Amino acid sequence: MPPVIEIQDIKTRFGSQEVHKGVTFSVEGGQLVALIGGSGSGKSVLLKEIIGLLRPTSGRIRLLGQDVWKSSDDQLRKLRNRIGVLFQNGALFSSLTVGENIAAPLREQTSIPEELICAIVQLRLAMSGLKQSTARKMPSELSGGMTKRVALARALALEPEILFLDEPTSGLDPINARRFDSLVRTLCDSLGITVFMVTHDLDSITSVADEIIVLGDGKLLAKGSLEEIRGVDHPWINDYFSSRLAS
Amino acid sequence: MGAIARANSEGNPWYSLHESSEGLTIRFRGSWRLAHINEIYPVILREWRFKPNQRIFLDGSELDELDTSGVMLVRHVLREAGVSEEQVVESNVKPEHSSITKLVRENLAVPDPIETPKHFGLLERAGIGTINALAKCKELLAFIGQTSLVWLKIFVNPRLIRFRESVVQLERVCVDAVPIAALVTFLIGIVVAYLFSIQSEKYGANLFIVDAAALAMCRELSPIIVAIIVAGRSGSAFTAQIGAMKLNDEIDALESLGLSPMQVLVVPRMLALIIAMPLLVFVGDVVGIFGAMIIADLRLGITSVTFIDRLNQVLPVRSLLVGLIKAPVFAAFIAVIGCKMGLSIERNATSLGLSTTSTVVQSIVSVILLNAAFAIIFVELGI
Ligand SMILES: Nc1ncnc2c1ncn2[C@@H]1O[C@H](COP(=O)(O)OP(=O)(O)OP(=O)(O)O)[C@@H](O)[C@H]1O
Ligand SMILES: [Mg+2]
Repeated sequence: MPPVIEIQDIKTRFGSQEVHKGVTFSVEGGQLVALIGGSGSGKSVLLKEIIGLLRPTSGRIRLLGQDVWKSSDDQLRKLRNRIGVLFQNGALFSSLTVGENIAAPLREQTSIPEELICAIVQLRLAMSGLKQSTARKMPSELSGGMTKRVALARALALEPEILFLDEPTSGLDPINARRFDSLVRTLCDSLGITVFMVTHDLDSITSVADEIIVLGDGKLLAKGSLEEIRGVDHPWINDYFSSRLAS
Repeated sequence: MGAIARANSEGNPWYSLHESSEGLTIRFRGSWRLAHINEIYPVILREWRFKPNQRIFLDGSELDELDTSGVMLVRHVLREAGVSEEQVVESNVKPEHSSITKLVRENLAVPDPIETPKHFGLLERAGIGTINALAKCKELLAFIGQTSLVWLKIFVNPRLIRFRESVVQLERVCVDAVPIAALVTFLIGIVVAYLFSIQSEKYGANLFIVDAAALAMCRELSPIIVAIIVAGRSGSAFTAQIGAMKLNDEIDALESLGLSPMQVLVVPRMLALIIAMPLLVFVGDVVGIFGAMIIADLRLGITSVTFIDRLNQVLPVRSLLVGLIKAPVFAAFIAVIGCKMGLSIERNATSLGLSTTSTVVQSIVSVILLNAAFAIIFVELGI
C-alpha cells in the first residue's frame, strides 16, 4: 500500500523564527500515528500544513497521493472531503445544535435526503459514545469531553479515509481520555481509517499508537514503534518518557 | 424463486433479491458507500418490499466496498419498512467488512422521537414577545440598580474608580470620536443654514438665520446627532468588547481574581462616556454654528463679524446648557445599555452579533425618548 501521508523536506518560517528546518516522513494507511514534541515545536503548524490550511515555506506534502499545495481549489475541496479533522478546541459551530453540527458536512457536501442524514447523525452520535438526546443541545451546553466527542462525530461524518486529531485528549479526565483513545482505536481498526494524532498524552501513546513521530529542534527526531522510540537516546525523548516517573 | 437485479450507472447491479421458503436474501454488489447513497436510496426505497415476519438475509459475499453510511442506509430502510431487528440476519459478510457491520449493529440507536418544531399562532407569539420584552426590561432595571449601587460606593470612596481603564476608554470614546462627530455636525449646520437661508431671504429676515441655526444646533441637533453617533460607535463597541470577553471566560477570570466586572468594565466605560458626550456635543455646537456661518456669508452676505455679534445677542448661555445637560444623561443610558447587553450575552457567536445590533437600536430609541421627555420638561420649566 502506498503511504497516505508523505512529507518531504518541509521548512516553515515565521519571520525570523524557523519552526521546521526540513521535516521528512511518511505514514502508511490504516495506522494510528501519534505526533509528539515539546510545546511550540510546530506540531499544530505541521498539521495545518498537511490539511492545506497553512502554506509551508518550502517542501512537498502529498495526501492520499495528491500534492496538497499544487492542487487546484476544486481538487483541494474534494481531497478535504476525504479527510476528517478534529481541531484542538473542538471548533463546533456555536450557532448550530449538536445534531446540526454533525449533519453540516453531509448537508454541505452531499445531497443525501434529510431522513437518511438524520439516521447517519444518530449512528455517528452512538459511535462516538453520546446519548441521542445530546443532538438537541447547543455546543455551549456541553462539557469538554462531550465537545471532543461531538467534534469526532462531525469529523467522521463524511466517512474520511484519514482522521486528523489535534490533542484530542487534552482537557479530559484520565478515564474519559482512555475511553476516547479506545474509541479512536476501534474506529481505526474497524473502519480502516488512518489516524494522525497530535498529542501530549503519554498514556495515549503507550496504549493505542502504532507508530510515533517525534518532532523537535525543527527536525524529525525519531519515528517508529514505542519500543524503538524508547531506545533513542535524545535528551528530550529521555525526559519525556521519564516524566511519568517524576510525577 | 425470482431473482431481480438492479443496475447502477455503469450497468453493474447494486444488489439482487432472492426469495425462498426461508425468507428474502438480499445479495449486495458493488460499492455501498456514502458517495453512492444518492443513487442507491431511491432504488431500494422503490423496489424493496417485505412480507410481515419474513426473515431477511443480508448477504455480503459479493460486496466490494462498504462503509458505515452504507450499512446505515440498509438498516434505515429496513427499519422504516417496519422490519424488526430480529428478522434480519447478516450472512456471508466478508471478513474485511465484518467489523464495519458489527460497529453499526452495536450502535444502532433507538430512534429518538423527533420533535416537530412547534408553530405558534399570532396571539401566542405576541404573548411570548411581550413576556420576553418584559423580562428584558426587568433585567435592565436590575442592572441599573446594580450599577447605581456601585456608583454609590464610589461616591463614598472615590478611590474605587479605576483611573487607567477610564482614561483608556476616554481616549477611545472621546478623542477618537471628535473627527466624525465634527464632520457630521458641520454638515448638518450647513444644511440647516442653507434651508433657512432660502426662507429668510424671502421675508428679508436675513439676520434671523443666526437665531435659527444657533438655537437648533445647540438645543436639539448637536446633542441628538452626537448621541446617535456615539450609540453606533461606542455603545456597540462596549457590547462587542465585553461580549467577546464573556465568550472567552474573561469575566469569570476577573471575578475569580476578586475583581468586580462592574468596577473594572462598566464604571470606567460609563464614566468615560459621561465625560465625553458633553465635550463632543460642545464640539458639535461650535462646528455646526461655524458651518452655518459659512453659509450665511456665502448665501446672504452676512459677514462673520455680524454673525458673531448677532450670536452674542440671541444665544443665551442657557440654551447652550440645555443641550449640554442632556448629553451626560444620554451617555449614561448608552453606556448602561451597551455594557448590559455585553454582559448578558449568550455563549455563541450569533448572540454577539444580535446583541451588538440590539444595543444600537435600544440606545437610539431611548435617546430619542429621553429627548422628548427633556423637551416637555424644559417647556414646562419655561427654559
Ligand atoms: N500564525 C503564526 N504566526 C507566527 N508564528 C506562529 C504562528 N503559528 C505558530 N507560530 C509559532 O510556531 C511555533 C509552533 O507553534 P505550534 O502551534 O505548532 O506549536 P505546538 O507544537 O502545537 O505546541 P503545543 O503543544 O503547545 O500546542 C510557535 O513558536 C509559535 O509561536
Ligand atoms: Mg498545538
